[in-house]
Amino acid sequence: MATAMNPPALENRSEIAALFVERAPVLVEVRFPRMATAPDWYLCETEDDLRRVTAPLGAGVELHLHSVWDLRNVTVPSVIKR
Amino acid sequence: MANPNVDEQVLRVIVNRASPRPADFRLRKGENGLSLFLGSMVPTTRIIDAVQAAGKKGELTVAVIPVSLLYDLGLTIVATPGGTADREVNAIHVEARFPFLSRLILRLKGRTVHDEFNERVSPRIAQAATILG
Repeated sequence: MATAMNPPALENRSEIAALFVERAPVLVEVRFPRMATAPDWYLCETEDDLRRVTAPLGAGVELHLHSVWDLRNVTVPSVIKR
Repeated sequence: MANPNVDEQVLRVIVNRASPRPADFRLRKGENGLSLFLGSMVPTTRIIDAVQAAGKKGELTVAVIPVSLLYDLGLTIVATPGGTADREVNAIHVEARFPFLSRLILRLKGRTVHDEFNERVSPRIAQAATILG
């Protein structure tokens, strides 16, 4: 499941809560649309982690949330063995 | 705003490191073109401050990209409003996009704009971009 939202509003609260309860950890992509910069990425275990990520964000920023369990590896995986 | 000349430069805000990486110049789904600011019209410190104010993390700097390279890669530069809270910075925002015909050809080949941009264009930009000293 992927969820996009506007952080100041933090819409879809129940959907986000369910995402953390049922499918944590959650990969959070913080996009800065039309600000000429690449996204920041965070791995959040809880909603509190997410709140810490969103607290300093300004207007116009977008969050895209993905459960790590939904990620697909479409290329050859990098495997490190010791 | 007129199209920039080949001898001009555009800017992208990146995390400061030894050299730019292709990941600094990738298109995300939903983006029509690579978001950039025109160079030399607003102090770079002001551009960085505007991006930092939105919450971008890390020690930021500016990667300088020659407009001629973008034209050589078959891109057009389109003025669009910026997304920061600084009106002057927003006024110099542009996007580097594939023109309509290129997008059409890509579609006929069954290739997405993002794949083409990220696999062919992003590495070339990273190679040519210089970090503002």
